Amino acid sequence: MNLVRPSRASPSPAEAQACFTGRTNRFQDGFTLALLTEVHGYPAVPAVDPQRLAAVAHSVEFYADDAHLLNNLTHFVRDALLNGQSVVVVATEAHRTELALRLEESALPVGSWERLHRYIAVDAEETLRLVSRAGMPHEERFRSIVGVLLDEARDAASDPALPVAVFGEMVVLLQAAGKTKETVALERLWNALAESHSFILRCAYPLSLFPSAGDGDALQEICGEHSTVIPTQSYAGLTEDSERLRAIAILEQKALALETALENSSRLLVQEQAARTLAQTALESRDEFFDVAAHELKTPITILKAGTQLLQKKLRQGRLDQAQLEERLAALDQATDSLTAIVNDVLRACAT
Amino acid sequence: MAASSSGAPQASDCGGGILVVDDDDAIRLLVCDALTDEGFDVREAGGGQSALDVLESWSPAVIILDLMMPGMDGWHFRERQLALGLAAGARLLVMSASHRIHESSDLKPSAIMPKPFDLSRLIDTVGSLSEAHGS
Repeated sequence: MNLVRPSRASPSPAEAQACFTGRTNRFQDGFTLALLTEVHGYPAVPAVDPQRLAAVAHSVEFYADDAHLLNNLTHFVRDALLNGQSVVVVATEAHRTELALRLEESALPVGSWERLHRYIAVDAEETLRLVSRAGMPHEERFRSIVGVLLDEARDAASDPALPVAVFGEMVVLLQAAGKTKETVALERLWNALAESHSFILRCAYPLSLFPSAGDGDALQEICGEHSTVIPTQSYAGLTEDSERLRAIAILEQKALALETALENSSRLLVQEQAARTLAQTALESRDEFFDVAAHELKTPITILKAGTQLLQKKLRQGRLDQAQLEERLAALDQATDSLTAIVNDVLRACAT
Repeated sequence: MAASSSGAPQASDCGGGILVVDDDDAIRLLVCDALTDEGFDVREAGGGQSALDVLESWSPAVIILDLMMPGMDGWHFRERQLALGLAAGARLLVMSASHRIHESSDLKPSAIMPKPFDLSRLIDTVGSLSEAHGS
């Protein structure tokens, strides 16, 4: 039995069936399918009109820890299954395994739902590879591969008019690799797919992917591709409007405090660097001062010492006439004068 | 000129002379005078560039080099002298009041003599460097 239905895009039903036969590894020959739909060039993925985006049930959740994500995800999947909808999960292996365990605990044995094709779980990394070309999400590949999954799930639902509940994590892998442009492109492909397929899509990003102030733009861009944004649990769990407003005020205060702290530390850093430069300059000029002072002081001392020794030597050897003696003594006298002048300069410099 | 009491060789004995490079006139004259009295063939230069000019046509056995000089200083002179291959076999005696004299190993000196120095020690040092050059 094969319940796979082809998507509205290529390939033909026979080709799609040929590719999607493995139950354990759904995409064991998926790459062939992707090649069948290969389109040359990289068309830019346009954003869905904001008014139409509101009609797309495409929500994004930001979570601080895995346990919270899995808790919400279990609720999302359970509600859909009990509502008669089918579920498609495109998640990491760890999340698929953990989700299956939690569903079993909720008396929803995943194996049975899989046999009915009401629950289809595929690997996010493998699927991302198949829907990408040269590292960029590829529209034709995405439409073929994800479209087939959605069709298969839709046809298995108790009422095919019901939207398929989808959880997707391929975007998280892209964002974790720092590829915000590709992440947004993939989000847009999902939005575009909503024109031909009926589904509600849930994305979930760990908040840790946006740790610094500079990540604000990426977060905002990603939020812009979703119709609903669910903040971290501490805020999302609040039900009363007054509680939410209070939480917003507290968050705003925290943001302000962080901004102030950031400004302070930046200012301190600048001050510290300036002080360091000043100290370094002072040290260097002190070294230079000592070197020059030593040179200036030792030069006349050298003249005095060597000059005196030369005079003594010449006297002993009897090779000193009156004129030479006077000349030598004048040089010594001059050296004494210059030494005195330097000592005075140094003393004056020390006094100021 | 008479041979010195310290027994330093005559310039004619070793075939080499002494070049004294120092910007301070008094020190340069003193050193030249003392070494001339010892029988050395002494020439002088008041700076790095004029020392290079002297070496163009004369290869001494020993170069006595001051470090801190205006214009071309001792370090620059030595670099140019070696690069130009002037008086390549001459021994270098660095004689300076700068504390950086102890960081002058890259000048490849045969001896260093901090200022102020003892005149007899200078004469002995120049004598032995000159002998070493001649041997």
